[in-house]
Amino acid sequence: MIKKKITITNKAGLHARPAALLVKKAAKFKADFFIHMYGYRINGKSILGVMTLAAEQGAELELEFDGPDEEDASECITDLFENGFYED
Amino acid sequence: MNEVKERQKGEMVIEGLSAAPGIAIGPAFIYQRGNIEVDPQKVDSNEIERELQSFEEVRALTIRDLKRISSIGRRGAGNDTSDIIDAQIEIVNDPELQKSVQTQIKEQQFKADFAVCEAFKRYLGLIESSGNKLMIERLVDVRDIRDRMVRKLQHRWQQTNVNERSIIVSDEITPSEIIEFTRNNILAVALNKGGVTAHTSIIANAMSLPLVIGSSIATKVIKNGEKIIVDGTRGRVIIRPCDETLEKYQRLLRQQKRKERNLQKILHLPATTASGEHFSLQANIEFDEELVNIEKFKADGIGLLRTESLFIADGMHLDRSSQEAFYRKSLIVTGNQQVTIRLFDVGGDKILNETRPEANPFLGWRGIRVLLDRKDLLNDQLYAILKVAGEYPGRIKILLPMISTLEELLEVKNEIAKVQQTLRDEGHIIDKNIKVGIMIEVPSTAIQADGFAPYVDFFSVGTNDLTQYVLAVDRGNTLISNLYQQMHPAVWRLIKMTAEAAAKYNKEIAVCGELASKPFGAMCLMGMGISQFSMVPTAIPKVKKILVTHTLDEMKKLTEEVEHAVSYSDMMKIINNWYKENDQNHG
Repeated sequence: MIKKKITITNKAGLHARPAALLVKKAAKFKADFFIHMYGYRINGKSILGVMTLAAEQGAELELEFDGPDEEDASECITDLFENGFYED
Repeated sequence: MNEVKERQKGEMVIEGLSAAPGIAIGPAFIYQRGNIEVDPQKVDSNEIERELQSFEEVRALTIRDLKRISSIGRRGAGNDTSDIIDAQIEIVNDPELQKSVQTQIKEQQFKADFAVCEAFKRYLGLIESSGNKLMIERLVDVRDIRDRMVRKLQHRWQQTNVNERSIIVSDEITPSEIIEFTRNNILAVALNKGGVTAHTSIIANAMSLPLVIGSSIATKVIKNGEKIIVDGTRGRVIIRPCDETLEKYQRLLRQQKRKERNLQKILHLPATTASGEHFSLQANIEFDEELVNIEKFKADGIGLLRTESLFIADGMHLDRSSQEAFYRKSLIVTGNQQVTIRLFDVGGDKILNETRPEANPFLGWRGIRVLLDRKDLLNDQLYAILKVAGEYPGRIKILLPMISTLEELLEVKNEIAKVQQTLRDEGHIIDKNIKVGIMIEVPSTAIQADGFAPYVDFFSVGTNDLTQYVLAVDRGNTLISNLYQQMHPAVWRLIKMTAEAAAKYNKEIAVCGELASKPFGAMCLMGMGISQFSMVPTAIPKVKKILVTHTLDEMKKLTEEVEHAVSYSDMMKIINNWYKENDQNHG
């Protein structure tokens, strides 16, 4: 299992477009993917779950990957967050 | 928005937003759909499986609808809308949502419609209480998905009888309702809500229907049957117009009609150049809904019938009989003209979710490469096409996408012969002389066009992909969009080579890419000896206008100029000068 702390950098936060991008990418991997925030834990492959987080710029999240391709998944998803979902 | 002005004699102007241009004057029809209603109905344990299955079917249908709208949108409106639709597709695909619905059905034995509502309830509540403004704005899109699925599960496409030639005034409206209402020849639409109508505005534009959104209190202040004005261009609804306003708008409406008539006049002219050479303008078609445009724009049949829409969600494809129905419909609409059916061109930016991620999808497993690996898809489609072709001999042509080697072409032709034999064995009539052609989109195929020519009946040049392949520019990459130039000198050269090969072997050649839909592009192509063009039907009038008013010599002269251009700026100079001289807008 891989755990990783991450901060949301793009201005608009994790709104509909980034959320769609995130779950689409996550769905490509076999590894389970969860997001922890404010004590919530949601399935990172569920767009509705991601939307309920309503994570804004500056929010700190913990990402959790668990499965055969967890390293690739972690790298791919971290890249999305670090590049602010290619938004700003 | 939300601005309401009272003028003299009770005239009232509601300022909303323009979502589709045009003017309409007519009686209002207040339309109210009513909210979805569900009851916590339970099912017997032997019905659980059926409920689960209808949920799966409705999911697939909902995705298909969303992909249709998104595809119509990509060809018209901006990206904002397709982002929203993308997110909506992910909602339908949401694994947690599916699990939750399935649990409600399996454990609580609820009917699927109620289970869907229950599953959404928690998410809607959480988003609403998040306090995040951006997210709360999207609630409407989340609810829209819930309602779509529930209505489908309840088979409640409640048929509303809308008055003929009326203006629909409503709180909000779905794209499918708009399509439904256009059958009643409605004149325009005014909606209370704004922003909610991403899909709706896409469809309204595609249907040339004036649409004003955000007209706040429209449904409250407008009476059923009352004469109103909808100004879709300025985003305005006028109630109880005074004489002066009415006169002004009647004048504008006359202008609009005159423009439409001029367009019609052009469409009724014979398709010959000023010097008498014949040409043919055909339609690119993807969906049933677009078929009405063939008659409207007097297209000479269908030069490119895309068949990717036959894929439902997740790479499933329609069975043979549903495919046949789609092909037959396109033949009926086109009278006695020809229909060129392109085989499934999947891969690349298209659908077929089952494909593994590729580093370079556009250079990867797509078009004929997929079909030759998936003979089940290929043979089903060939069977459906060839069967219908036998019913309408001489009218269907088969177009093969993404051909890059002669072997691929020969292999498909071999498959066609086998399917024809099967059909004959089954007692069907076949079209023995059915024409088979290839897309020219891979540069090597254009270069070797004289090698392919003896084996094909026709070429169809797809300039969009040809351009991106020969210039090594990904047409979807915004960082390099300035390098994506369909009028690049190298593209012209490849088309010229293909045209020469076609002429040498006396084979037909058509252009079905974007280039053919530009007046300047069509001029140059005709100068190269190409006289068949296929395009979005709405582009036909402007292309026809240019071709009928110029002589072939003028076109040849222009072709010579573009052939000698080296840099793209040389090319731009030629293009700009031409548009200036011809008093045309770039388009």
